[in-house]
Amino acid sequence: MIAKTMRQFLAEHPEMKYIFFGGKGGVGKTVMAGTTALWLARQGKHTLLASTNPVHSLSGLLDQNVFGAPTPVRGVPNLLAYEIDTKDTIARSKVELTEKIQWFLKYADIKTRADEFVESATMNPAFEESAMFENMIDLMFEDKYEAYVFDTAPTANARRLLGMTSVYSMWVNKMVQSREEAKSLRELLSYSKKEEKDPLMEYLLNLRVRMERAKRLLTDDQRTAFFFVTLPEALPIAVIKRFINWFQDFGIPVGGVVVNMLIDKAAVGEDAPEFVRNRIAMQENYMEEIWRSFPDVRALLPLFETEVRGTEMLERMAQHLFA
Amino acid sequence: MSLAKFFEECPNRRYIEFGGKGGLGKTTFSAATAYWLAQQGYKVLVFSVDPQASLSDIFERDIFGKGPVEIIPKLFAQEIDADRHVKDYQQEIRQKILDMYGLDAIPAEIEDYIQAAAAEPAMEESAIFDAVVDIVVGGEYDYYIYDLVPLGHALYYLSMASIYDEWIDKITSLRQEMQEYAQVAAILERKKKTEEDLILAELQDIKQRINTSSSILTDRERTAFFFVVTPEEMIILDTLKAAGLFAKYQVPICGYIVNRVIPPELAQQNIPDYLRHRIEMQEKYLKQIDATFGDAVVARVPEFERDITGLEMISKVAQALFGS
Repeated sequence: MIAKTMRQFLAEHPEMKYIFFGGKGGVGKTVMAGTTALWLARQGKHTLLASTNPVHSLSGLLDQNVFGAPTPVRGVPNLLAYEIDTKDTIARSKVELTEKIQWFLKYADIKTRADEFVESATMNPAFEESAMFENMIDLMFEDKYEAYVFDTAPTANARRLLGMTSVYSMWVNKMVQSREEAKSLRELLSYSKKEEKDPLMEYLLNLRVRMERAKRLLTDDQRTAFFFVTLPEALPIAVIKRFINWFQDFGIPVGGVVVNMLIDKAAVGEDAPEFVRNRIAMQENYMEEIWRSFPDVRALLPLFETEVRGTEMLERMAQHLFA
Repeated sequence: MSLAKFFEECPNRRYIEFGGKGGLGKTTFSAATAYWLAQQGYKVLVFSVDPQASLSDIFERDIFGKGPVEIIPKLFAQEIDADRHVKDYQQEIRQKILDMYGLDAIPAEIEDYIQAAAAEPAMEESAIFDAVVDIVVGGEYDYYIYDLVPLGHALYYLSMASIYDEWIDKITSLRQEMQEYAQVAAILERKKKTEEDLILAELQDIKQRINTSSSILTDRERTAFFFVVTPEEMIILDTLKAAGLFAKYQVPICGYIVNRVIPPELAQQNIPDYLRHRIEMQEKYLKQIDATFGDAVVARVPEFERDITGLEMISKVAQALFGS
């Protein structure tokens, strides 16, 4: 039995602002995020539903184009949806990086051209992943909405960010120290004695402040919650068990678990083929494991007769998710 | 071309990989292919480096970090524990620092660094690279089935190799330019030169490892790469995109496997609405898959009445993949 529903959980956390959904591929994270955002907007909260996936699915979910800018969702006041344009982000990050590297090469009197370095630093997907994560953080910092719902929990990134904050702090401190030394040495040796602005130093200090702020937000259990979606099947259950353990280790607040795609027994006739009856039996088995493993199940969601698409279907889903 | 026929006609391809988006059945097919090959009398290792790996879940045995475990005769499975490899790696670094600088103990400040750096993704990746290289150069098995991490990361590994190449070439040429200086420096301070050579040797070593690992992924003689798709619009589009990228990196794509096909004969029976709609939807996208990938589709695997865990279900999947 559900001890505390999604609705009760949110009622107990009136300041809840950043909501994430995580889980194995194919369990319905995007649908849950869409449903939650819609419901929050219906409660009168100014809400942004954002996708930081390299491959977006919000436009498909809502059946309208929400790519590139926060776009009002048709028929739902207070709700905006936004698929972040990776290409934009990457291009912008490249420009910033190029400037930094150019400046540094000049500073260090190295005559190599910067673009080679930039090319090799930015041509891999990990760069894209980080760029998207930065985007997400920016949105959170901007603080223009009363609620933010993200359609993917950046599990690996969140884990890295939190694990790396200490590394970065240490590294930034070292860099700051050695740059101070280099600067005073330069001033000592230079004929002109003019003070040079040091953008790298500013960047490093900014980075440190950003990381610490992001960590504060992501670990604040009054304002942030990561929910995990599973199906009544072995592998998705195993994956979120692992995720929940990681998150608890890092002090990231876990809001609870929702179970998706339960076959409605009432809709299955007596003479249904064995294929269907066996799937129901399997689901019942795994439900027992779910009750045993997760004390914080917040909702059970039926497998609908069609794909969940469009706001009407999301309304239907919301009646189950926020029963 | 069926999958069984592929193995018959390409006996040299001993590294088998399944790729695709998360949640499509990569791990299931890795396990089932390994099972089938072992049944044919080959000694097989199926292994995974994904921290979310599910080989333990699918074989219903905890094999995480335990090295190769024999599941049934000739079938070995291994899940790499990246964290433990990172710890070994840290120890190795300590040893290198001690040797390089002739120290008796690691200075506290450096120890802090080594500790903190464990959280660095690069550290984890290096450790994983090493583990994979160790496995495949061991040459103890007839077949290696590599349960790949999701797409993005696989591409990342591939691109890393070329980045390291460039980087190390740059450093090498810089060192040549500095040859004159280096000679002077060597006379002034013998130790410095050996130090630089050690660092360069270390870089060359890293490059070597990464190249070995990525050359396995891209070896057109010995590797076969299969994409997993399901009959859904988004998945087909993503797969096309990914296939283009993989082709760019010279990955030898040998075919596509369609997963989760609901048996169409169910439509004749009294089935719930959700199932009827899904059968209709799949019909459309199966046509699209055939039009798009045509002869490259090597197998269609049905949706089963329960999820795939345990040997009995794995053998059913193997039958669907290879025919009985």
